[in-house]
Amino acid sequence: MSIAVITDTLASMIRMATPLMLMALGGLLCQRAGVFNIALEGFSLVGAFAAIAVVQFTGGSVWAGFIGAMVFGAVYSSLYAVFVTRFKANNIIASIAMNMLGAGLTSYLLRTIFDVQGAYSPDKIQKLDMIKIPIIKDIPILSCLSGQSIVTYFAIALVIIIYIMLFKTKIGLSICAVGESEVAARTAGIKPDLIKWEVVLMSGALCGLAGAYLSTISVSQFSEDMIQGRGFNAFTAFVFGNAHPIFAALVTLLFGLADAIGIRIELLGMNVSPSIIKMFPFMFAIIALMTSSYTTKLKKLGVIGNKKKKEKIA
Amino acid sequence: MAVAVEMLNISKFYPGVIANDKVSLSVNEGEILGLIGENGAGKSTMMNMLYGMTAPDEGVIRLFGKEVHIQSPNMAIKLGIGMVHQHFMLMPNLSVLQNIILGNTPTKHGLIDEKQAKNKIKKIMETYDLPVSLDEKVYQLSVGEKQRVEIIKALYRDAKILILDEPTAVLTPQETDKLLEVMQELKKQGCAIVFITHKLREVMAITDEIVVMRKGVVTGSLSTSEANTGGLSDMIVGRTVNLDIPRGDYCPGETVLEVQNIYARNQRGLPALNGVNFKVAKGEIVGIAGVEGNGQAELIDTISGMIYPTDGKIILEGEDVTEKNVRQRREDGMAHIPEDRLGMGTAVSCSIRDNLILNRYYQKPYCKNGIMNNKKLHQLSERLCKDFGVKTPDSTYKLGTLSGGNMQKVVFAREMEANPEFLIAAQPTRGVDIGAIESIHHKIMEVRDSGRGVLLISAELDEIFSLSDRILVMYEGEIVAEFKRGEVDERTIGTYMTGAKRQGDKNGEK
Repeated sequence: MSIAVITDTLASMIRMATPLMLMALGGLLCQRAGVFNIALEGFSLVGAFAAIAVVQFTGGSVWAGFIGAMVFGAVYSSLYAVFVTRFKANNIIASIAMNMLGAGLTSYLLRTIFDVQGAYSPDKIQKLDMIKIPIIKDIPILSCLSGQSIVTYFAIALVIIIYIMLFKTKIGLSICAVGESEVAARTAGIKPDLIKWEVVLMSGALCGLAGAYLSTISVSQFSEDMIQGRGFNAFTAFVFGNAHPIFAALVTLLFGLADAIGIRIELLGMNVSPSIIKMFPFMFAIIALMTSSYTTKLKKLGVIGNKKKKEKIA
Repeated sequence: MAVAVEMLNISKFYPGVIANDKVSLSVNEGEILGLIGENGAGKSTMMNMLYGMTAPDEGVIRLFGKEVHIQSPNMAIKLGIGMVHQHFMLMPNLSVLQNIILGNTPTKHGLIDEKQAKNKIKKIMETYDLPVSLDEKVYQLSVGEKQRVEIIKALYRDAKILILDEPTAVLTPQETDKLLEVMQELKKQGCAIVFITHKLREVMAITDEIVVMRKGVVTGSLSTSEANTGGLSDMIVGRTVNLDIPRGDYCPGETVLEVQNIYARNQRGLPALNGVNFKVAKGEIVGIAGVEGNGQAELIDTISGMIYPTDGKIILEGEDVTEKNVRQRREDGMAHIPEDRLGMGTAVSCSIRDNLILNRYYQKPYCKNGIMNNKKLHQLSERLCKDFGVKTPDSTYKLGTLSGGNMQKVVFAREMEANPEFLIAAQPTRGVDIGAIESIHHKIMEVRDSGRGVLLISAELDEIFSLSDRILVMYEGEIVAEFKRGEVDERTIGTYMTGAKRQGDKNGEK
């Protein structure tokens, strides 16, 4: 493979990873505060729709789309926050409800607002210029970092910001404390429900932005179910990354790589079915989860297994 | 000296229950109040109201003469109240420093100012002699250290009023002494302390005033100088209690259980038992003392068959049962009262009857060809409830409706009905009140006197001392000392429990 192909693949990896990274950051914030949020998919879908709708009504402004997506993502997630704080609903059930409602709501609004089915492209959309970073853009391979969208750089900055927030600030300490033990946090004078509201709203805004990235930068339209399981991949990424912003971001890059390679294989016209290629990131997700659960199991085996019995097996 | 806390005519009603009925108490600055009573007497409810966890339905709370309505722990903290809960309110995966500053974090440019926090904490640690390493994670600390963190946490928030909810329940005698010293120091500095405990000795040793509660009302309020332990325990129970259990002569028979060089790992896969050897004979109670987490749980699990040892042998009545599973061991004559009554000992949402038959439900005559014989079951459960004094209108009630002491009686009845030759009793009286302790101790003694073997594991040294014929001390997965009944006092055992000493070290000395 030539250097150009590698650079190209890596650049594509970063593009693919950007929305995952944003969603994973939102998810891990919730995870740290003890909210089991697998509604990332639904939040992002609402964000993707909101972005396109706002772009249409503002006459093509992508920036307005971003902000609209974050606001509506947060508004939509507040429903989830009500479920998990006010009504103490089972987090998983509430997440599933949010995902299903997201799918239904967007296709309903698609029909009532834009009078179309399946997909909608705004009349006008001012595509953002990709940002070229001087010097880096001329270095082979590293140049994959240049020429990305503003959202990508924002996502990378957020990884660092959220890392600092979680481990170096007061609010981060409160978030981790609530996740560790709600009662104990309460006795220390922290309001767990308030913290949960905060993280869920942040995850809503982050997922909204991720959705906007998909609908306004990756493509220029909203289509039904356009998140296509990325929310669940992001979930896998932060679980596998131990809810640590930097590790989780690295895992999203791996998923992005799987995606990018899949696309390359397709482009090269190799005789492989596109469906199989699209399976790549999901297979990777399963392998990732298996590895992490297997290592946990190995540790436990020392307890459960009788030495003699193990020898017999060996 | 000024009055720090006054709680006047406090009442708290829960549906169907009066938790507190016109309870009054007060504490002065520089004074320690002992608050005693059985479980469920309403002590914790009182303190939860003072700490803002719940609100009283009637009555007035005054702090330093000013009436207050404490609505949240946050508010209580701001008013200068600190509470050390019975179950530590610490985050195991956060560092000691993070745990202390949580909720009251100094910041600089938006980031946590660790230096400032550390300086303040170090000052507290020096003043009260409470050393803890700040950078360690809490799960790495011993129980005594965790408690120190809790106290520092309260002092860090400038608490003037300290509530200590059964702080000594989990401590070794040495750690308890240390805590009492710290309390003296706090008292000298003008703190008002409410000290909840079950141990009358400690109450007599350190408090200035005593309030006794029973069933939600105050049954005694006196100053310590006028009190004596006998009178106090009568006030606690409402009748005369005798914890001196009569015992038959000690005449051990043949060995019923032998543990040979057992090695095992804990749930994290780390070594928990490192070559444990001992025997239990028929007609004796062998007590295992030790600070929790030194392999007792793994020892119980290995003997009962919940986990398999990585090496070594377990011999029950001359037969090697190392490879046998739980049911086979039970059928060979082993019974087991688990340490975790709710998790392992019982099924809370099942009926009392079902719980009484859990170990034999598949046997005749209770089950024929896979069909349960409800009539036989009902006869059995009604008889057991009567024999063992389980207080319930009907054995078809859910087990969860019973109190801790009655639940334990159900477990006991079930295990004894199988007529075992060997009984493992792990923390048999944990969390049950003094009246139930008395009856459970009598039952254990009956097992011994009827010529069967008992292995007693308990964190309560009092219990070990009052029941055991022989006492083994466990430290870091090994038996470090063995004593005969009456040969040793609590203080000596304590030095072995903390690993300061072991019997191999002092050759020849008895």
